[in-house]
Amino acid sequence: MVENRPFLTFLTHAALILGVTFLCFPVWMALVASTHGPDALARSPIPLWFGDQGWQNYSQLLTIGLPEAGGVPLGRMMLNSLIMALAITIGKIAISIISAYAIVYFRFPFRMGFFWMIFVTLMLPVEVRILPTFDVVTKLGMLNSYAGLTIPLIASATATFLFRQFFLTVPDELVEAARIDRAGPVRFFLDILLPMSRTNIAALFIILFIYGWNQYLWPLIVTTEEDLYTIVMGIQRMTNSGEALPVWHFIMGTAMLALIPPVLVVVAMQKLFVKGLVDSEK
Amino acid sequence: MANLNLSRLGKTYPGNVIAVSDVSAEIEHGEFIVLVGPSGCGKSTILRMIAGLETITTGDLHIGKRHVNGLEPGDRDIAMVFQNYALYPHMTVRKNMEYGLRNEGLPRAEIDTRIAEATRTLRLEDYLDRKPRQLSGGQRQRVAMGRAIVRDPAVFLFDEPLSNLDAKLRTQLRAELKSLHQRLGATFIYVTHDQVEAMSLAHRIIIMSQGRVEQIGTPMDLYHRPATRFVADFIGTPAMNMLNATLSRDQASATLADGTAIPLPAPISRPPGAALTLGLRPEHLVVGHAGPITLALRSVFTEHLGADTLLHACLADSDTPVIMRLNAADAPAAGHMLTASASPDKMHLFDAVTGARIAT
Repeated sequence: MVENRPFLTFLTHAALILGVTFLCFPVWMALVASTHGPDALARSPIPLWFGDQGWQNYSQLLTIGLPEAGGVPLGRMMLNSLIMALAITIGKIAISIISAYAIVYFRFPFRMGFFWMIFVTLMLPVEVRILPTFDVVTKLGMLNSYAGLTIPLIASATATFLFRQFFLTVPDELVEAARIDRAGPVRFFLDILLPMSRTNIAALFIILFIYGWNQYLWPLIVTTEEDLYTIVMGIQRMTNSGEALPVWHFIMGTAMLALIPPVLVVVAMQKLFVKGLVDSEK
Repeated sequence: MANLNLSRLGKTYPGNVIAVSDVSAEIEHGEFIVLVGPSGCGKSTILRMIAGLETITTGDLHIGKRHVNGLEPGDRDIAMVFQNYALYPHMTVRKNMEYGLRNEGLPRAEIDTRIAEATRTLRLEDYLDRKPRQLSGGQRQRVAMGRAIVRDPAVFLFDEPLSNLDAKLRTQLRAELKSLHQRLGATFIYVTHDQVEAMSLAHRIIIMSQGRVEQIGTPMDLYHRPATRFVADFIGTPAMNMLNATLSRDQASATLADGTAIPLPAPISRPPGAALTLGLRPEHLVVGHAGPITLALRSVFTEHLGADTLLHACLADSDTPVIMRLNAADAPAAGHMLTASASPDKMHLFDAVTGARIAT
């Protein structure tokens, strides 16, 4: 039972406000820093309120880019990140939902063997298999291409497993009713299973999009051409500017811009996301 | 016209688990057949074999003139209503009902006509645009029936369709089902574990136990001439009273364990001393010494059900339970001794070993 006492209300609110402040402060600092000139941030104390250079900073980032980061405009990097994140997300969902469908609804030899093979790869994150994967990608001539950037990250045990668990909760009678309604395997998948998985797909979309957007190590390894740099790599290159002082106002500006797409995705799909985590609508 | 012919149907699951064996039945077009039996007796398996949801291990199944063993469920000209309704949760009532028709490729106008007709029959007009989760259990079950009706199949299959509903709704839907059957004139095959449902709905009942058919017959057949002890016990509430006895030397009477002699309706040709089970329905026992069968009973407790009263008693010298259905509320108090009488021609005789009925 939820108790309703003024003191407890105060306490819970205080705790929540504290948490939110704690969480948001760095973001606030980044936002403020991106509107100042380079000197303001090198001095102490660092400013806590907006400066007057915001417009200048952002327009430089978006149009000409930074000489320190190879001079690529941010727009290009954002686009690369977006393409990579979307390809990884859509690819992962498409492949895992199909393989989960096969594993749950079809009887074929070594079915469980295949399931366990997929499941075991859960334990192998990208970092562990990065050298052999790099080798394969090189031999296939996929270095410096969107394909090389995305395909090795697409196969996903987690998503397959989640869809499998969801499909197992779908009552058998639905399949049987569909068979009586003359729906073949493809029809059943498209007309019934896919719409029923809507909330799960939305939840996975958010998680995987952020996963894809934040990829750092893999793009760093497979791309050497500046045209394919992603935004996360861009930030890293700016901080690693060798002898020169890091250009904090630009770095923070880039970070702010890099935040926008994931935030948009979360806001847009939030309702479905919560639904997907809370109930499965049966 | 679609007669159904089940010829020596059998189902064996991997690991040599025999779910159903050797079931034969001839079902006429337009019949209302109820498959009844305790859970695990194979009645649902038979239904699912007819539907095509289970493969048939042995035997042949004909719907009409067609041999359908190898056909997909969608090609068998059947429709099925499931216990948990199995409605597509993301589709509206209308979409649920038209899904099968769209897959068949029927023209739009035809689909609309059929849905309008079915919704009128089932009084679902107001719910066509709702999702299943916005409906009550009874309404969902009606939608499931609607989905079956619009397909206009030769055979309707029902798998315990009313078990998820409360008692009142169950009675109401039972009546609706019966009138639906009369209106459609199609063959209905209905699975239930509830013998009251079976008795009230069926033209003929197929009663099953442990994967075998015990008896096929009209409800009154099963009630008045149960073929086995199992059927006698299963049909009728409260259940038939069963008394163990041995055949006397004169072959015209039987002796209970306490020595009471029970006259049989006619002499039977079995060796004296053969073990028999005597069955007497609760409604065929009356209080008094009228005979010819008299039993000394000790009353245990009474149940007042309004229209009648059930007296739970046991044989005076043993714990064998005996239940009597009395009209008046004049049942004796607990612990009271009484004498009950019955007529021998109301008695059922079974072989105590095989459980088969002994004709008299």
